[in-house]
Parts: sequence; structure tokens; C-alpha cells
Amino acid sequence: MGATEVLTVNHLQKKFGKFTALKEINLTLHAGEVLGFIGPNGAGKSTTIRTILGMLRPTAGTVQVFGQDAWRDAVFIHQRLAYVPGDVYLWPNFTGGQTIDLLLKMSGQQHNAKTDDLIKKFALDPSKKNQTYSKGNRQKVALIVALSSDVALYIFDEPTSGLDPLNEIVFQQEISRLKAAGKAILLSSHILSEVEKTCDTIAIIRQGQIIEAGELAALQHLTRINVTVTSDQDLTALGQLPGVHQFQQQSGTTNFAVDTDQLQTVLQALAAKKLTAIQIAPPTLEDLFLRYYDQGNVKQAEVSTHA
Amino acid sequence: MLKENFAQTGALLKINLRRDGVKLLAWFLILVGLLVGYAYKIGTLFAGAKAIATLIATLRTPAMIAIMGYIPDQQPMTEAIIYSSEMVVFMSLFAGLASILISVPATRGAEEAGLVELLRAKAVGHQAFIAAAWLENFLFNGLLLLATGLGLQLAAMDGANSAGNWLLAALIAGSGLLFGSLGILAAQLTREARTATSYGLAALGLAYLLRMVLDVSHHQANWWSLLGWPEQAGVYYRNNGWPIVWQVLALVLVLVAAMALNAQRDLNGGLIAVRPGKTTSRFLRGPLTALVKSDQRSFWSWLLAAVVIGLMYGSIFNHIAAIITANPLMQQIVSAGKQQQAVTQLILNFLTLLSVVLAVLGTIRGQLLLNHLDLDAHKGYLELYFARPISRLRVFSSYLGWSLLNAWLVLAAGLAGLYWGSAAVMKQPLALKYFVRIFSGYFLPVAVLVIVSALLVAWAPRWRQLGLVYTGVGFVLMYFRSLLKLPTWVVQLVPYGWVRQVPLKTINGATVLSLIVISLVGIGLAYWGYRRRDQNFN
Repeated sequence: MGATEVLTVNHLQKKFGKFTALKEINLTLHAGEVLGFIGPNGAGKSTTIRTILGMLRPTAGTVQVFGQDAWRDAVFIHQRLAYVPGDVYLWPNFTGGQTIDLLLKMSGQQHNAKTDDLIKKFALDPSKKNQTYSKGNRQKVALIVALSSDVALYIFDEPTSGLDPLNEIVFQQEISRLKAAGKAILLSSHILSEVEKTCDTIAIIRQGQIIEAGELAALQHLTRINVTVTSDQDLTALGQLPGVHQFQQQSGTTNFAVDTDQLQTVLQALAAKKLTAIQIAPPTLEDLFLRYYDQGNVKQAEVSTHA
Repeated sequence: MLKENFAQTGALLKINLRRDGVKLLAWFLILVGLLVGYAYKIGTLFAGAKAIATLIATLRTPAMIAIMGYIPDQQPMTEAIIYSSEMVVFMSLFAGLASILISVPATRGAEEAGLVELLRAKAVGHQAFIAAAWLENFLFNGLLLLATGLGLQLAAMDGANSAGNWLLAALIAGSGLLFGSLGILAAQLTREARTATSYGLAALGLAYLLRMVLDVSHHQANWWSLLGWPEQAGVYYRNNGWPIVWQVLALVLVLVAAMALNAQRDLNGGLIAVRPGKTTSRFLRGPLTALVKSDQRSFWSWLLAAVVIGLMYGSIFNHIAAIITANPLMQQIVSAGKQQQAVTQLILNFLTLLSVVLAVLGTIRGQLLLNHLDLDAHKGYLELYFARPISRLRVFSSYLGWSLLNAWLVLAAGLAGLYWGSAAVMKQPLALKYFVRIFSGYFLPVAVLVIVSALLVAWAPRWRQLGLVYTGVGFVLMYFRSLLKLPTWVVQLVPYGWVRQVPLKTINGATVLSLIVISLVGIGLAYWGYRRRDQNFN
């Protein structure tokens, strides 16, 4: 990579009283890189992000942004950072337009042509009061502010959870634009496919721990593709192929999962059959976790046989 | 129809009771404790004919009538009649306050939190939330009636009778339920629980002030005020039951109105539609301006309310002056010039009490505003600040500064109202210097209490309401210190007690200095705590 490190999280631990929210978090983000931060609800994504933002004080470990301490130098760091929280709450009696300007002003940014462009693209009515906005519209306000800011690091906490598919596309286009401009982006999500589309590297968090991290391509071994086929012919033989898992048959419909590296073989076998329908779905976060647990079990099993 | 509208009311009531258990119990104990406790103690507090005669004379002054309520003058006085004259207005006021603070959160509060939306999607009736909140109020006030009635029976004050005991209990509980129902009605009018609460409290405050003005001038007419009704009963001497009937009729009316409004309006909506506004604002630029703008409506309401309260108190000053000038004995022994001095002295004495009321008003405004430092964090507004190059010092000082300024503004507005009101009715108006003296005496104790709230928000945000409790304790101590003959050290447990002689005397330099030092140390400690703690949202 060689690019400068924008964000470094080292052995971060965070406790709230007796409860340990974060056990061991390590993250690195370089300029021009998009880091996907994924995990189920309650895994510690928002807690990690708020520690990076200097809102929570680490119990142990270090968090550095632009080479500065996230807690101590928060104000300095935030001059070059934009953030969209997971749940956006806005002052009820301000209009959307007033809120956008206020948030930009507080970030030391200006309302510019890009802001107007984004308002149009996201189809937001800025004359409405915040209290009449839906969750998606409030999210748009925060997104417009962040995306029209010119900073070095962007942090998005589940940014598309309230957006419709059209707005989601706008968001992804904007991410690509920022990436091309050499910005660093941290994108948290619980939807794997969303992260896959935009991210270079991913880090998977579960119960306060990073359980996998690395470049997306290198993690493909973890993912399986779900295949559903309908055929008049008997497909039982497919279940015997290497790399096929969770093979299930029910009245002409066959469901199974294939390891990505074995996809070629399986598709060739399918091509020989007469199919009426075929559906190939990308792996979900759930699949990924299942796979991870499988591996964990295998490792444990191996350990126990060795012993 | 009945099923459609009221389905699951019982289940909701159970949820409400479980959620509000501690709050209900606390209010219940406070109210019953005061009512029954005082009934047991009144005989020992005022033992002997002389003590009682002094007490009656004090209670008959217009100042005390204004505060406590009407006291009959054609009756042979008994312990029980003194008790009812002292307690019936104030405890009705407290029961009303408790009931509003129970009913609004159970209706609009639940709606604001999204609970109503969640449950209305299930088989829960359209009016079930109203019915459950009302039943919760009914149970609370019903138990209050039983406990108070029984307690009074057992206390067996001199001159008490069963009819009077139960009537008094019923009037207080009835006032509670009536204001609780008004709270439910207010909850239908506006989208925000906060606004609904302030509507309810405004109705309560207006009822209290209206009866005050009527009591000192034409007490027969005090049925114009909801809090005048309990006085109309003449507990223990007339035992008139009609006010109870009025209360029940009013209750039904209010409840029907609330349900009719609820049937009309949209979920999460109020009666007043939200209009679009300007897309830009020159004013907004940071945490302070955002706080000022989002708090705009409260700002003006508090100032207006303070002026009105001041005006109403001020408008009874001539009645206080009248008792000296009308007293033939006074006229004989005191020359005209001395008479004026005596009037001034009497009014200044009354002012030591009124100052506390206005100071408490300002304090509460400041503390409520300061609590927003924590509330706004939970609402998620502060997350937007702290993700930006905005320091904790800036956010903290914006909230504290605006809270202190508002506390002082409300105090000043109340004093201005008091000055205008008194100047309008008195032949020889009280000099402005006394009002300035009150402000310069009380602005530091008010600040100390607001800073206590800041310390709580910084160090123990969960307990932030304790600041308000401390103020409430301060009010009770100051208000009843002479009636309850409280020792000085007890009164000095609250900052108000340090300046209790104002405006009879000016505040002394040593007190000013210690209050300033306490304030500065408090601000320093609060900021230190705020800077080092986690910011928790949602």
C-alpha cells in the first residue's frame, strides 16, 4: 500500500462499568481506501466509531487519527473529518435547509454548489421542518452535509439503513467519487453486499472483537454462493461434488451453497442438466458467520483429535 | 364500539403502573405524609391559646391569604378549621402537579417515544392509552383519598368531624384527578410532551393565581378558579359537598373533550399542523445559537409567565397596605408618616416570601434548560456537535451560560411584573430599589442551584433531577420556615436561606463572596467532570 495511515486502532478495549463492549479492536485505514466495518447489531460498531470520534474514552489501547490521539486531540482531528451517525436526530423546529447550513458551518465548511447538487440528487425538500422528516430523510440531511464537505476522512455508520434503493445508488456513486479523489472512508454496515460493492478491505466485528480483517479478495474463501435450481431431472449427484454444502432437495427444487473457488466445477455440472430455473445469490453476512463458525468448529475438532 | 376503542386498556394500565411505580409511590408518600403528618403535628406545633391566636392573626393577613387560601372570619376557630384553611389549596395544587406529571408522560410521552405507534398496530383500542392514563390517575388519586381520609380520622384534630375529613380528602383527590385529566387534554393539543406538560402546568398556575387575586378581594367569587372550588366547600364548618359535584362534572367534560380530540387527530400529530419554513437562517452558527433557537418558544413562555405571576402578586399589594390604614388602633397610635413606614415594612416582609417564589421560578427555568445538556445528548443532537471541531468546553459553556442567563432573566421578569403590578395599584408605590435589592440578593443563590444541576449532569447524569428536587426542598423550607418554626441552620441548608432577609436587609459582602467562590468552584468541577466523561447517546 505505502499510502499514509489515516486511522490506526490498536488493541482497543472499552468497558462500561463491568460490561465489556469492546474486547480487542485493531483497524487500519489508509488514504484512498474504503474500509468496510461489518458485524451484527450490538457487536460494537457504533461504540468503536464513537471512540474513534473521541466521544468515548478508551479503557485500554490507542486510537489515532491523522497521527493524533482521538480523545485528546478530537477538535483538531474533526477539522478534517465528516461523520454520519447511524441514527440521525435533528432539532425538531429547524428546517432541513437550516440544519444543513448549521452543520456545515460548525464543520468549518461552506454551503456550495455540491450541496445544492446533492439536495437535488437525494430529492430532499429543504423547506420542511425536521420533525416532519422520516428516518430516511433525516439520514439524507446528514449525508448531504458529509458528502459536500471536503475533508480527508469520512465515517459512515450504517448510512443507508433508511434509504430507498434509488438513494442507495446515489450514495454508492458518491463513495466512488470520494475514493477516486483519494479520501479515506470507514463504512460500517450489517449488510455484506453493500460493503462488497464499495470496499477494498473489510473488518468483521463480533461481540466486541475483530474476527477477520483484510482485503476483500483475500476473504473470499470465507464466502459461499447460494444456488437455487429447479429441474425435472435428478440432481442428487450434485451434493457429492467438492465444495458443495447445505445440500437440500424438495419437490424439484434444490438448494445448496458453493465455496467460491469451486463454483466453476459446479456450474459445469449444472450446465449438463436440463434446468427450468436457476438463482444465484451472493452470500449474506449470516452465511459468512455460519461459515466462520463452521471453521471454528473444525479447528476445535482438530485440536481435540490432536490432543 | 366499546371493544374497538378501549381494547387492551387493562394491559396498558398494568404497563403504566409497572413503569411509573416508583414515581407514583414517591408522590403518594409525599402527599399523604404532608397531609396526615401535619394533622398529627398541628396540636403540638401550636400549643396554647396564644400560639394559636398568633397563627390565626398571621393567616388572616392578606399576604398569607394570597399564599395559603381563604380563612373564615365569622367562625369560632378550631384546630381543624385552621388545618383545612392552610392545606386545602396547597395540597390540591400539589395533587394537581403530581397528576399532570403522571398523565402527560403516560399519553403524549408514550406517543413521542413511539410506544403508541408500536402498540396501536396491535389490537389496542383507539382510546385505550387515554383510558389507561386516566385510570392510572384515578387509582393514584383514589388511594390518596382513602389514605388521607383514614389518616385524618385517626389524627382526630380538635374540631374535626368525619364528614369534613372525607370531604377534604375527596376535594384534594378530586383536584388531582381534574388536573390530571386536563393534562390528558393538553396532550392531545400538541406534538411534544414537553409542551403538553407546560400547558397543564400553566392551567394549574393560572388557577392558583386567579384564586389568589379573588381570595384577597372577593373571596365569594373564587369559584371562577378550579383551585377556588376546594375553598368553597368550607371544610369542617360548612362541609358543603357541591364542589365535589362540580369537580366530577368538569372531569367528565374534560375527558369527553380529550377523547373527541383524540378521535379526530392523526397519530403522532397535534391539532396544530407543522408548516414548512425558510431554508436558510442567518442566526444559526453553533451549539449556542442552535440551543437558543430550539428553545425559542419556551424562552418567551417563561418570560411571559414570570411577568404575569409578578403582576398578579403585585396587584394585591394594596390589600396588604389596606389592613394597616383601615385598622383604627393603628391609626390612633401611629402617625401618618409612621403608617407609611409600617406599610412598607409589612410589604417588605411579604416580599421576603415572594422573592423566594420568583427565585424558585428562575431556578427551575435554569435547571430545566441545563438538563438539556444531558437530554440533548440522549436525543442525539450532541453527537452532531462532537463529531465536528467543537470542543466540550464550547458546548458546556453554551448550555451553562444560556441556562444562567435565562434563570436571571426569569427572575428579573418576575420582579419587573411585581414592580409594575404594585406600582399600578398602590397610592404610594414601593421604591424600585427594593426590587433591585431582591435581584442582587437572589441572583447568586439561583446561580448556585443551576450549577448544582451542572455538577449532576457532569458527574452523575442519571441523577440530574436531584437538582430540581433540591430546589423544591428549598422552596418548602423557605415558604414554611416561619409556620413550622424551622431553626436557622436548617433554612441555611439551601442557598436561598443565606439571603432570607432580602429585601428587608441588603445582602452582605461576606455572603456575596462565599456564593461567588462556591459558584466558581462548582463551575470548575462541573466542567472538569464533563470533559473527562464518556458521551453516551440514545
